Amino acid sequence: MREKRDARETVLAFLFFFVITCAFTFPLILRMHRAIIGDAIDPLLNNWIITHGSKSIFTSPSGFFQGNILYPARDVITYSEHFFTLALLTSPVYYLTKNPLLSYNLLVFFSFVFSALGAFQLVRYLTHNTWAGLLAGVFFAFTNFKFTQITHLNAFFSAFLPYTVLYFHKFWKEGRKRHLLLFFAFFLAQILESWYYFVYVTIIVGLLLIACAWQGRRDFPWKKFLAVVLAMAICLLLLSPFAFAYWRTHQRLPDFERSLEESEMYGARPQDFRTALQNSVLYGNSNPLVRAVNGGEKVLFTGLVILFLACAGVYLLLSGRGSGDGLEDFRRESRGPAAAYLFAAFIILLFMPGPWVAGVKNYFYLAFYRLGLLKFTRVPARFFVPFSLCLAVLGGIGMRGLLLSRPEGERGLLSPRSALGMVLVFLLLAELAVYGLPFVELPTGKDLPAVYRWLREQGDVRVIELPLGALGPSTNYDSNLEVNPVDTWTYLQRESMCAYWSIFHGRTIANGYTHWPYSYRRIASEMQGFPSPRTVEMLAALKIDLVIWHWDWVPEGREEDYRRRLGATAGLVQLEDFGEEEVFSVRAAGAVVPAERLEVRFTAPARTVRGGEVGCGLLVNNPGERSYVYLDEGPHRLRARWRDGGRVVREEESKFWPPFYLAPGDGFVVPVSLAGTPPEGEYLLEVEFLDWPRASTQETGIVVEEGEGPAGQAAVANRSLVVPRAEVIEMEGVRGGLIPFGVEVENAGYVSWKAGERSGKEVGPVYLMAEWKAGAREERIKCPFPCDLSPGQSVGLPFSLRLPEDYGSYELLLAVENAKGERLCETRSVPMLLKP
Amino acid sequence: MAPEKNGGIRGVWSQAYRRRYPLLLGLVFVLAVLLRCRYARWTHIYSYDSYYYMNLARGLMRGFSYSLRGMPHGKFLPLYPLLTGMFSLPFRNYELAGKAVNVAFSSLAVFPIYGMGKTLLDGKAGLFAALFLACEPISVTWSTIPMSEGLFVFLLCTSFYLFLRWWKARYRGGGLLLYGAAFVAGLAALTRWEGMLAMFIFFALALYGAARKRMGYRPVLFMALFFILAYSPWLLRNIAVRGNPFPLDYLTEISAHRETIAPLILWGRFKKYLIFSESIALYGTTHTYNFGLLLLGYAGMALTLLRRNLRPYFLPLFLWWSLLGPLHFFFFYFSSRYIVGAAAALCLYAGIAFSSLYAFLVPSFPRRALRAITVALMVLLLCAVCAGSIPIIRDHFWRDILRMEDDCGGIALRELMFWARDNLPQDAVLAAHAGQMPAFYLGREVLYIGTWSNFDPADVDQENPWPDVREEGVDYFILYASAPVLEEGLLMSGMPAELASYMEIEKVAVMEPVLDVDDVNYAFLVSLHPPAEP
Repeated sequence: MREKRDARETVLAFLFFFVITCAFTFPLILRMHRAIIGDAIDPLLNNWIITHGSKSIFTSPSGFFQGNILYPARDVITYSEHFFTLALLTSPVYYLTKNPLLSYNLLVFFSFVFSALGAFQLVRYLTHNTWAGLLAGVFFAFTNFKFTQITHLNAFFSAFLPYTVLYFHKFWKEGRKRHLLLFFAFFLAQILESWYYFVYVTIIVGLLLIACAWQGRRDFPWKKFLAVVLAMAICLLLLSPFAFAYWRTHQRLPDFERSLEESEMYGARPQDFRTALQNSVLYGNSNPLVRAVNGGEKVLFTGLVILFLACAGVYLLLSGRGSGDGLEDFRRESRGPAAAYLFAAFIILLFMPGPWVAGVKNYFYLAFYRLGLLKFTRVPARFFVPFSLCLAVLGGIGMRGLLLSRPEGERGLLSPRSALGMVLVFLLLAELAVYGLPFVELPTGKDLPAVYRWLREQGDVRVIELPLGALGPSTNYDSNLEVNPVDTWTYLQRESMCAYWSIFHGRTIANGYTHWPYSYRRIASEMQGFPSPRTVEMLAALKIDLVIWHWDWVPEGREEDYRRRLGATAGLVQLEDFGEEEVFSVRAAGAVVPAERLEVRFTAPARTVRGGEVGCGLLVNNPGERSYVYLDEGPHRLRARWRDGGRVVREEESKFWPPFYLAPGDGFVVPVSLAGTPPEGEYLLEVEFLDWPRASTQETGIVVEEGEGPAGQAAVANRSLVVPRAEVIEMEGVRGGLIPFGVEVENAGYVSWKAGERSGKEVGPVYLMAEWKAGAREERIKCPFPCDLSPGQSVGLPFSLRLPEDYGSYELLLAVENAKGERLCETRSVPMLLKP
Repeated sequence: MAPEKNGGIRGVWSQAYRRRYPLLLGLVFVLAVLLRCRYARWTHIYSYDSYYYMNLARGLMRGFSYSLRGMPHGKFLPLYPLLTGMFSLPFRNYELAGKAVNVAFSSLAVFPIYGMGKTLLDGKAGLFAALFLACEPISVTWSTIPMSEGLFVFLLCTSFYLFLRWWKARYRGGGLLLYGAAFVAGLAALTRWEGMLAMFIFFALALYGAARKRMGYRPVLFMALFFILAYSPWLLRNIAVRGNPFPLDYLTEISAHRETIAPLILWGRFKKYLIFSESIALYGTTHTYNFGLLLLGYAGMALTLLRRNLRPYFLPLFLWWSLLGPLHFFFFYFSSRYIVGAAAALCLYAGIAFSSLYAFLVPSFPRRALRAITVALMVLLLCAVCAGSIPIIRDHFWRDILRMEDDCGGIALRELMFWARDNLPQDAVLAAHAGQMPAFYLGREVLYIGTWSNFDPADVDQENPWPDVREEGVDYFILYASAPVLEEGLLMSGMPAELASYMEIEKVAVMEPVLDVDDVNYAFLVSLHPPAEP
């Protein structure tokens, strides 16, 4: 009887949440097949990942991590979330409809419905009260934070979380195997959904396990405890192939983990707890009590009703004076869960600020970060999701207490208790109501642009879609290369759209949007100069077959120039014209030189101090007539030996990343770091390249001294020298993009110049500055030295120089500069002339 | 002594508690005044209509003349100008007087709305409704300049308060209440034409009662007489000076506006009225209205239909809300100020809803602590809803009020007029295409270049002004532009740019725009050198 009633209530609750979801996300229900909710950036990326997963899970599971964007990068799925569970869930819909928008929108829609239903069932189970369940369901699924995350499916899709917790409780209480199995299934489904939820569900289940175990310590249920731990361990084991793919990428690419600075930026602050969404009906207009923002990561306002209920619940549990009907039972039954969820909420709250709280280190967060558990999560504020589940449960418990404190009266919807429950649920709904969520309409199926329909028929080709949006300056165009779009929003939208179209045409593209690897950043920077012989040569070397040229992406006033250059650049042949889009075939030779043909010279400071890190480097030049391309992405090793006479006094291994692309004549500085030095003395530093460019050995003399360290900034003003490789730069028919350039630098000061962090992220306290200015656009490139430069030492410094985007005469200024912006030598000027 | 002192304090507290509603209502009134004054002190340039009102007030005070440009006026109704004129005696400034009347009466409206809430439900409903009205965005925004909205809302609420008290007795209330309601509705009709709608509602409901034999026809007749009594000065004056009791200038304007509002389809206008919003939000908020208030308002409307004790009031309140609000869409949609009357009804609905919620939730819990937590929740919710009006007020105020300083030359034109007042000969004849604004600052009549606002006829033809210029003896044109070019000024006044060769700039006033999105304002005073007569 009870089960029948529960089932009927569950169906009604499902319908209720379905209607609420329709209302809050309106008109999603009408546009599921032709629009995407949110913007056209992150949702399109997630859509692409899920669709790729849906396609590959059953057809080519080994290619699950190999996406068709960001060519030539590998394992591109591991640059973001893999969404395995979601891909699995939506694959039938995708195969039936071939509409990626529909499958994505169904996920979004039913995430709301099932998150609410899961929380409803969880709280009803804990409180035996339907109204409490409804309230918890509404809060957990529709809190403002969820709507801000609607574009981030990895933080949004929480449908399995309440079910995992529900079946944990059921198993803990009833000990039935079926519940353990369901707990296992939901836990696995949730951790395979995204890495964020791997952390959240593990932490919340872990905390509840601790709390429940503590509560039952007198008669400790060892069997249940071990069963839950075992189930979780098996899930983690099943997760390991996914973790391995990410670990492999992590090993291959530098800077692949989230930094503490990022975490700090996205940590929750006190004011975030009074920040609501602008789309909120009640609180969304920045009134003095509640801040309203247009999206963002830190919309943590819970509303007042749930806090009121949670407070009331805690009060009723603690007050101890029973008077109302069933309040004694309520206290007896609810104290345990309330304490467990209060404990979990408190602990989770400690994660939310991130690594620092009001300038003080958050050791709790840092400990988990150091363990590696939080290195793949950028936004600590997203811990609000498990926190909101705890709050929903506490609110539900409070609701039950409040209802019990009222007289029972007659049964039915109009009884005093039901009326109060209804009013509180509607009050909560009024608080959480949002309206006017943004949508982007997108074509699918037969509405696909003609160029992509054509591309679908072209077999196995590699494509790049150009022109890319204009990029702003980067501090360095070699190892520290950044991509800073001038119009970030448009740039990301176009790259995301390219990924979206690739779902339909299925060809491999060099475009895309996710974490951008070095190869993408380099290609994007170089393609600023497209079309030019250098860029066409690069495309050919990368074996990119087709260029789709979008005339509607061309900046105003440049159409004529582009038409002329597209027609005049050798190696480009027009294949098709679709009006707004044109397709060109890359017909350049495309041969590449092997690594063995490169000139690689190891450089090290002439003098260094004992004990510290020694900044060394490889000067790599391509002397051939063809390009060099390194597609492997991974690091290579070298072995350094410090020899005193014939005796090896110190030996260590170091790793380095070879240059991704070298056009003929290009040079590149590869940073290499040696961890320490032998005692003072004169040594021969011998390096042995183990596998790249070829097995070989080089050596250089180095003196190790006692001292304060080479990190000085001072120099004797105007004595140091910068000698440019060329007296003038003259280019024809080229604007934007990169060209190779180089200088000779001599340190004529009295302290060494540190080359900078060898990880490639930072330039040192002294660097070569190259700058030009053109109207509002200016360039200030900071080139780190190939190695720490000792006084009196000189070194050749090749670097990539970005050209201005407009034809004309410019002046390139070169000087050695320190971090304070002081020039340490006479500024050298090189005229630059760009002719149409 | 000590027990006496304690007893005294306790006595004061208990007295204060007994009179808590009047005391809190007083605080709400103070809040309403302060909120309106805060914004009113920032206004310098007003709507086109404000200058009509202020010039009419000046005319009334200078010789009890209700004329403009030498013609008996027939569009703007006289009660607000009359009160402005009277307020100008202590204030000695028509702008200040106009604002003071608007602020004062708009704030005073919290009393009748409190009365209505109390009549319908209880003191709390009245208090909440008064608080919502004190912060209501449209009411606050449009009470900051010399306009008749504040007075109109006060009279409308008063008339409805009297009517609802009469209505409460199911057609058996005291006749004085009904006649009072009709009289005040007459005064409201003497302020804005929408006052007629209030009378229409009262009359229709009373007539229905008489037809159903719940009351006699005599009260209905008396009611009509009281309305006519209040409205009669205007009728008599119109008959005396224009030979027609109902000058239809207003309808002329509305019919002329039809073309302008044609692109906005009926449903679009209706939808805007339903959510009490005018257009896109501009400053710091994406909301176009206080949606919290709207939610509560519609919940209150539903309650008047669902709750048995409130159901009798559903019809009059619904008619008030719809006729002065959404049904307005048949006529017009240019500004949210046209539904300021319905906004008061919405506040009353919201007060009912909030009070019902309060009355339901707080006594639900027998424990004092729980009740205290619930009261805290309700107070916080109330504050959140009221505070939600602030950004909307700011937004409306910038968009609808302050932005007028960038329209028609704005402050630049005002400065130019002050200069002209002090430097031009008294008999110099000026003409402008800026309504009554130049005349107000100049202190004497200024002729019209072209028709103004579709109802005030032209003195000087825009296409070929020279015959009129010669006939009227116009010496100067006043022009305004968003560029320092005379031709631009001519174009903005609807005249051909070629006329610039017959003009000489005497004085230019320049003013930075109030809003970043607007251009710099230029106002030109040009002397005319018409071509020789053919």
